[in-house]
Amino acid sequence: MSRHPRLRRAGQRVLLWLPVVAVAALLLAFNLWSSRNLGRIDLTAQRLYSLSPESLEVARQIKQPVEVTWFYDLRNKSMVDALELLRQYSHANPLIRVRGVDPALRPAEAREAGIQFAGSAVLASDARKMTINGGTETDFTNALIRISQRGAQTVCFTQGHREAMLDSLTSLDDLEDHGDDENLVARVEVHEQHGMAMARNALQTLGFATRAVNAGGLSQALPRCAVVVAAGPRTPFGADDADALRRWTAAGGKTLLLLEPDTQHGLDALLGDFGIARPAGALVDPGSHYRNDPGSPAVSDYTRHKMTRGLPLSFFPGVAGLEPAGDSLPKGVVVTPLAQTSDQAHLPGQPASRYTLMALATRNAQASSDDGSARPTLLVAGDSDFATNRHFATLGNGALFTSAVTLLAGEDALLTIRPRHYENRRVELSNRQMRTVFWTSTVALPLLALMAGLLLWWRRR
Amino acid sequence: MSGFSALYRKELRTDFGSPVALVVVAVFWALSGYLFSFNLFFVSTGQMVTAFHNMTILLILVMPLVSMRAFAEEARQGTLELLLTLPLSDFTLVAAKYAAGLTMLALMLAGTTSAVLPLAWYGQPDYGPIIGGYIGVFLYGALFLAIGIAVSSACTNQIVAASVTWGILVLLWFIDYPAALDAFPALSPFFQALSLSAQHVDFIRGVLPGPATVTLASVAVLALMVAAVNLKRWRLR
Repeated sequence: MSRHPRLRRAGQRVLLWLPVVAVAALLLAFNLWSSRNLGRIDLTAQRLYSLSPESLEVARQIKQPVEVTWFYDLRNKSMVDALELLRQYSHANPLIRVRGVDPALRPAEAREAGIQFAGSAVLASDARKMTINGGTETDFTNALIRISQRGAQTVCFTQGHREAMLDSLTSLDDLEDHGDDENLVARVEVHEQHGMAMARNALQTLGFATRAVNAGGLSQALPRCAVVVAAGPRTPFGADDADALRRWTAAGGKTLLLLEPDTQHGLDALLGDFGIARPAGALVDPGSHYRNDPGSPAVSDYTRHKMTRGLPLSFFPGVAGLEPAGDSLPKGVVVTPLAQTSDQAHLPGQPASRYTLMALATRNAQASSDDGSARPTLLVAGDSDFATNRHFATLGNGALFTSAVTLLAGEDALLTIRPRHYENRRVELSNRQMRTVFWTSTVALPLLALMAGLLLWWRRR
Repeated sequence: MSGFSALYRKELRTDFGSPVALVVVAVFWALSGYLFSFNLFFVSTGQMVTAFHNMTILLILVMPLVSMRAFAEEARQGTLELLLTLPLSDFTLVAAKYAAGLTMLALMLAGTTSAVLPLAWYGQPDYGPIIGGYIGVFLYGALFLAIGIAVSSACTNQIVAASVTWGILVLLWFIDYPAALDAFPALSPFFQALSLSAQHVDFIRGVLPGPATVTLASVAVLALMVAAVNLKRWRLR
C-alpha cells in the first residue's frame, strides 16, 4: 500500500517532463529543417562572407551530383572559412555535397585522395575527379565549372614569331654549396619579365588548358583551340600560318591579337577582314598614364561592356593606337572599342586625339552559323606588355587579359568574380583622443552606474 | 497579461532597488569599455569584432550573476511558495523573470554602445557588422540568461545556481572539442551545432546565420520550459 503514493508521484513527475520532451523533439526537427533550408544574412557592406551572384549562378546550374571534399586544417581560420564558403554552394544547390576532412586527423583518406597538405579540394562527379589547390571563391567556382564540363577549353598561344614565351616560368633546383646537407636544396622560381607564364597560370586556375602552337603548324593545331592568342609577334607570320589563322577566324574562331607598335606581324589581311588599322608609332598620352610615363597610357574609364565591368585601372606600356575603319568597315563587321586613351593622346607627328587601345570586332552571319554561336571574333590590343609577367600582376592588367580570353571563350560570366577584401578602415587616434575614449568608455559611464547603485543603497539604508 | 506585467515590474523594482544590479552593470560596462579601448588603441581599426567577442565572454561570467537569484533566492527566503500561489501559470512566472533579466541585459549592452561613438567620430566604421554583432551578443546573453533561470529554478542556493550555470555555459562553449579532434565522427555535427563558440564567430563579424539563430532560440525556449517544469515540481512537493 505504501508504494502506491510513491509510484503515483513518480508517475506525475515523469508526466511533467513529457511536454518538455515533446517540445524538444519538435525543436530538434525544426533545427534539422533550418540547417538545410535557412540561409544567412551578411550585414557587411561588401558582402564579404557571401557568395557572389556569379558563383551562385554557377552552383545553380550544376546538373549532376558533385562531391566536394575540402582537405583543411581545423586550426586554420581561413581554411575553416573556406569550408563555410563551400557550404554556401551546397545550400544553393543540394546536388553539391560538401565534406571537410583534416588530413592530420584522417591521413589514410587524404593519402587515398592523393592529398599531402591541407588547403586542397577534391571534386568528383560521375567518373571524373579533379583536385584544386587554394580555397578562394574563384578557385571553387571555376573548379565547379570545370568538373561540370566534359573537358577544359584550350587556349592556344602562337610561338615562333618572337612572341612572349608561354612557359617562361623557370624552375631551378639550386644544388650548389650545400655541403652534405641535402635539406639546403632551394627551389627558385623566376618569372622572365617578357614571358606569359603568369597569364598562363591564371588561365589554368580559371579552368582553361593552355598550349603553345608553333610556327608552321597552325593549320593542324587550330581545330583543337577554343581561343588563339598571338602575344606580341615581332616577326611576320608565314603566309601559310597567316592564312590558316585568317580562315580559322573567319569560320567562327576566336582570336586575340596583342600587337606592338611598328612591328611586322604579317596578319594585316586578318586585321583588314575586321576593318582595323594600326597606324605607325607608339602612343603618348599626357592626359592619362601610369605613374610618370606618358608612354604608358592608363585606362580607368572603360567603354561600357560586360568584359570591362568592374575592372580596375590597367595600363599599356608602349602601345600602338588602333583605328577602326569607320564607315568603310567591311560588310557585317561591328567594332566595339573597349579601352581608349584620353583625348590628349597622340602619335608621333600627329595631333592629339582619342585612340583605341583595345577593340572587339565581330562579323555577322555571312561566315558564321545561323545561331550565331560560331560568330567570328577578333579582339585586338595595341600592346602585349600589359599581359606579360612584368605587368600582369599590377593593377587591373591581369584581370583585363583573363577577361578578354574568357569573353572570347564564351565563359564571360566567370571572370566577373573578383576577390573581395575586408576594407580596413583605420582609426588613428591622437594621445588626447585615446585618453578621451578611455575615460568615457571605461571610467565615466561605469562610475555613473556605480554611483547610482550607491545612492540606492544609501537611500534604502 | 496584467499578471505578467505586474510581476515583471516587481522584478525590475527588486533588481534595481538594490545596488547589486547596478554594480553588476557598472562592472560589465567598465570591463567591456576597458577591453574595447585597448583593442582600439592597439589594432586601430574601425570594427568591433574583438569587442563583441570580449562582451560574449564577459556575459558568460555576468549573466549567471543576474539569473542566479531568479528562483533560488525566492526558495531560500521562502517566498517561492507565495509566488506559486499567485493566479499565474508557471510559464508566465518564468517569462516575467526572464523579461526582467532581458531588460537588464539590454541595459548592459546599451551602455556599451558608447564604444561606437569614437569609431563614428574618428573613423568610418561599417555599421552592418556592428548591428549584427549587437544582435548576436544579445541572443547569446538571452540564451545564457535562460539557462541560468532554468538552473536557478532547480536550486535553493544562489551560489550553487551561479556555479552550475557557469559550468554548463563553459561546457557548451567548448563542446565542439571532440568534433575538432574527430573523436566521435558520428556525433561531430551534433557537437558543432550545439557549440556556442563555433556559432559565435559568424555573429560577431556581422553574419546572422539562420540555423544558428534557430538553435540559440531553441535551447533558450527549452531552458525556459525546464524552469517552468521545475516550478511545477515545487508545487508537487
